Amino acid sequence: MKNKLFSLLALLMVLSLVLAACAPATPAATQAPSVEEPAAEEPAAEEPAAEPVTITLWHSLKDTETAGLTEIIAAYQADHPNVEFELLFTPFDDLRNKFETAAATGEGPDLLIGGDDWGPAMYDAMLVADLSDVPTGGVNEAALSVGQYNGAQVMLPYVLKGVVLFRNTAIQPEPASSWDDLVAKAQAATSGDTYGALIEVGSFFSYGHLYGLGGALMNADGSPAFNTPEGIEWLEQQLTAVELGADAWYNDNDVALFKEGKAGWIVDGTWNLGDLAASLGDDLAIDAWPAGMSGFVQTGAIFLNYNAEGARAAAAKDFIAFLLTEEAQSLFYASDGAFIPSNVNVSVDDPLRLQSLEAFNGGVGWIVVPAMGAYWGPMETAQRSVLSDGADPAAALAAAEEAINDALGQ
Amino acid sequence: MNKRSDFLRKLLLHTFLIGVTISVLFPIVWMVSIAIDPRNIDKPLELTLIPSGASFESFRKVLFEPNPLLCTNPAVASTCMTFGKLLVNSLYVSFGTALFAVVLGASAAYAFSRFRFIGRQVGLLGFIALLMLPATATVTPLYVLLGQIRLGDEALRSTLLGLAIAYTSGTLPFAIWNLKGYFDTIPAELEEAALIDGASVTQAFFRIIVPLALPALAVTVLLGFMAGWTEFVMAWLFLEDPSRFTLAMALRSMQGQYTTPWSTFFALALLMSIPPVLLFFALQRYIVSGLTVGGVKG
Repeated sequence: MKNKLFSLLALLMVLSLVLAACAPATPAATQAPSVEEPAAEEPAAEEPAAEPVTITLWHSLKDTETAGLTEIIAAYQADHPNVEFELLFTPFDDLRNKFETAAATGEGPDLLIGGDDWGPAMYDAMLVADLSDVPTGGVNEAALSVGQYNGAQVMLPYVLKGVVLFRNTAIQPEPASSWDDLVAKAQAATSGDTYGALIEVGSFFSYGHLYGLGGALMNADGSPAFNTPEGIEWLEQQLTAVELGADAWYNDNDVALFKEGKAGWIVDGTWNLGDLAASLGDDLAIDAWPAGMSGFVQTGAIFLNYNAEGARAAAAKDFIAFLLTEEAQSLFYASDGAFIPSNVNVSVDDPLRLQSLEAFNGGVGWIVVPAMGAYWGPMETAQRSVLSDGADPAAALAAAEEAINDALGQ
Repeated sequence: MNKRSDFLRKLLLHTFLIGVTISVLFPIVWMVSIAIDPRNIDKPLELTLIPSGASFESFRKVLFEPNPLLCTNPAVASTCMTFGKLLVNSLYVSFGTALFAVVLGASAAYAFSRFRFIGRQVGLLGFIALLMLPATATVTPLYVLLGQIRLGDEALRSTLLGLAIAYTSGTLPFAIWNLKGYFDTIPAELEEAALIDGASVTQAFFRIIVPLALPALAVTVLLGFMAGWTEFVMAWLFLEDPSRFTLAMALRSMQGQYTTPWSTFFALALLMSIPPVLLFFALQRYIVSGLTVGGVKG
């Protein structure tokens, strides 16, 4: 009897603790609206000091990029001494989860620098705010369009980057005019352990060629658009790439060989520009896309936390606007050898970065809509079945289309 | 004939053992080889046992240079984390986790082993259910819960103490089950004799049970330490002040979006393995029996 009584009491105590923990926070006592004394109309002797604000910014920038960012912050603070910054580096693979978890619980930084393809999903989840009212004069229009989603500007591009065609001029003195020209020149230059071209067949690096051939991966509504003659041609193009020497997916053999001076052309991202330039020196060039080829153009994105309010939100937006200006972008450009400004007014005199910008003109905007998530698996299955198992390209594309439609339907 | 079959049996056995040894040692040899490679290459594709120009530059860099990514203020190098500061934080979290796991685990396991109370079976099954949950399932609840508790003007979640508590929540179910299994093997008569001699239940626990359960306690300490030492996902989610970052977080931070400096990465990984190895050797004489005995009721 006594034991039962104690058990009952213990249960009640636990329940009361649980209920107390689950109860909503006690609202603050309602205060009568204060009646302000009418301010005496006196001419202001001097403008009052602005309210101190601390902006928090989470990012996954490399140390060279962080140096550029700190220079920009210093320049901004020269005009805004009331604004302090707290930067937090988080590895790229952990950053999105960290931000989403924090923002979903009403916390997180004011600003986030992350992947441009995070925007739509985070905007749908009300984790990032619309930046339509931030001045964007001089910013590359195509880059701006990457961040436009459902009538909102869900992120703003502070840097351009993308997939380009790198060339070792010691092996391939002249650029190719078309895919067929590239194949012919690659075959002519291949001998011993030197490859005329190693064209990556991994999906991220190869989807652009589908557009280069006149096809498309998806329609505006996210439905598949690749099951066409151009799609078949795209897979056949990759079969040729494998014959040229591309041996695997995403393993960077091509990059390693290129850096050793044993590959004439590779397809890779401008984020490796610094490393490749250090290895090849004056022999490195970036080609405009030959006919039948292309690559994704991406941006480095800055987001405003949906939870940012009041003076902090206003200061954060003001800083974003400054980050996109010619002045700030020029600082970043001078500080980081791989930085390609998103502001078209920045004077770019570095030949490789100029070539990158020219290559981007023939590029394809990176697809950031959430539907893209349904494409990776089925498309890679289709590619592998054709390239590794000898499957019929038309059948492989049909199977991928069906799988994607099923995934989108769900 | 017998000699021949005996020879074949030994040959097969030794071939198998050599194969196992190679498979165990190969990753370590690879790590050492890359760590002393002076090129600090971002994509290691081949193994050369002693690369040309081998040096300990990566170890020097990791040990003595501040990490430029983990800074309170990136513009001021003195605010960047060093190996020593990261080590202190890691030791704090790891020993904290081990301490919580062994203290809470032992007391809970003792109650489950010796006392009969309402909810005992349900409680034990509840711990099993917790063990079965994937770690990621508990991360968000812990994030919210520890975020609600304030230590001064900051959330418990963003402190090393909060991190150790979060890790303990993951290690505790196994610790309780393991220790309960071990306590079950200790005859209750030993405590009863102590109680007859005038000892209290607490005295019997500390003077009879704890000394006899040292092997299981040592295993609990080691597993708790390892949980705190190697974990980085929760740490990157919870912590927001670089001065509180740990070695595992620093190791993770080296993995870039596009490239990873593998020589310094493996140098840090090798250095990180030293404290757990030292702890293992310190507890070795208890651990072997602790690992085997705790799982079954004698």
